[in-house]
Amino acid sequence: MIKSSCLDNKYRFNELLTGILDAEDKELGRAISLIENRDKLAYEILKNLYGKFNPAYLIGITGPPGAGKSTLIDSLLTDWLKENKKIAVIAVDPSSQISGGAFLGDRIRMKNITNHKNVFIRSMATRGSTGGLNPAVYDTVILLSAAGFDMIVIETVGVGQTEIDIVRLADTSVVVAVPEAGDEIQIFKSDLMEVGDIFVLNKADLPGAAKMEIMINQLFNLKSKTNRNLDISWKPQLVKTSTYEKYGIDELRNKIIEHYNFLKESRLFELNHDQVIEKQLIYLLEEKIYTDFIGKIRNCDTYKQLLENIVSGQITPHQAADQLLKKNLKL
Amino acid sequence: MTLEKTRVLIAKIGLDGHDRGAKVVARALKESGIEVIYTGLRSTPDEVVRTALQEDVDLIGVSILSGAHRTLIKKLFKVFKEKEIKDLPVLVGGIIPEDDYQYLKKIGVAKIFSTGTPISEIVDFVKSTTAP
Ligand SMILES: Nc1nc2c(ncn2[C@@H]2O[C@H](COP(=O)(O)OP(=O)(O)OP(=O)(O)O)[C@@H](O)[C@H]2O)c(=O)[nH]1
Ligand SMILES: [Mg+2]
Repeated sequence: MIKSSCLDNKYRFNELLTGILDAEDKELGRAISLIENRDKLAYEILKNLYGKFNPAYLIGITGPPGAGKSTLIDSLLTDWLKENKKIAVIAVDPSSQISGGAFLGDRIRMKNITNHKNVFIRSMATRGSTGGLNPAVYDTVILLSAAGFDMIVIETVGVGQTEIDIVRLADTSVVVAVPEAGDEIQIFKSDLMEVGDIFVLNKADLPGAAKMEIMINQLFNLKSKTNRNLDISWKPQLVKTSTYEKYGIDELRNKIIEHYNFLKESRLFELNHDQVIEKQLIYLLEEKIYTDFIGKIRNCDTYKQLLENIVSGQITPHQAADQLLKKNLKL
Repeated sequence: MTLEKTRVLIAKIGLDGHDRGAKVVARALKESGIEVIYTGLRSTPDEVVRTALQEDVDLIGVSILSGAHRTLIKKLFKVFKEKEIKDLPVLVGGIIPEDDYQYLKKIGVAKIFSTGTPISEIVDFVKSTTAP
């Protein structure tokens, strides 16, 4: 928790910037905190980085709690790192709705890669974000790209809106499922099945894996993701893995590379990055409208008056909202 | 609501295989509104320092039950020096004989909590130490 004021004295801005570009742990760590805190200095940093780097390849790994996402990342990256790639991991976990605190324990399962000099890992809580991805993730991706990371892996727990956002952000979305007992397969009920590029059936060493595999494949046969504009399609693929018995990891890595090549050849890679920029712009607008615009409206007398009118039954909340917008919004 | 949060690293250094105490502390800190990064068993001092920097934590809590605390904590502060880290408080918890308190404090430990310390005392100390 570093305030901009004390940063001014202790670390001069240029020093911070140089450290970021050299991918130093300390400066990157600090900068991400500034981003998470929406500190003004973070925007200064980003302004200096913008447009000066190649976008990193973003892989999203999502799935239910405990599916083995972190363990898979550890195994996947162990071999990738032998190719001298620089890889960053952002591991997102939910903040407690009650205390605002968080238990960020993904590093427990990433012991094989923590010491590697080309790896940077950051644990991130969702903080205030109500549904959806913490907007700080977008800026952190920019920061890490500018720091020269070739690849950024983002782990999120697949619940609610976050899973869909991460899929929009990531170039390649990997959805991790595990064998489930019974006929009611939970993962089929979630939106996750609709959005993944690659599906992983992890813990394939457990009973029930064979049955689950058949069911997922049946589902895949029904559809393939088509991009109408470009007249190309990618058929979601299933990989069975076990990090315990050590199989399927190579296959998963190959599928990811296959998808990457598909994105590059079809120009979807560039298209996705343009869409992400727009998505971020919308996020920022939403955040600013919420804090600046709604904050101000709530302090004005008309607002208080209208609120009373709703309570006393003279107008509906819909009418009040329309009136407030008409009065305050000039486009 | 402010977006700023206190971040704390809870680490186990050394070869002992028990982390129940560390997890209980981590949980209590989480419930008091802190973001707790927990790294599991058997971290090395180098790993702890690197993690602390990447995660930009405000405080490190180290749990050691193996009896090797003198050597391990000394090594930790050696890495601090190499990386030019100042102003990052370190708490030590676990089985620490009182005879060693003075030594640990001399080399830089901010506070020692032996097993059996009420959790609330640890939480209070962390909160007051990291208060802005
Ligand atoms: N049987 C079996 N267990 C596994 C496998 N992979 C991981 N696990 C175990 O599953 C548990 C959860 O693993 P993690 O990697 O922490 O799972 P995660 O999806 O990252 O969990 P969260 O981040 O808490 O949502 C751990 O106890 C792992 O050891 C596997 O292939 N087979
Ligand atoms: Mg995890």
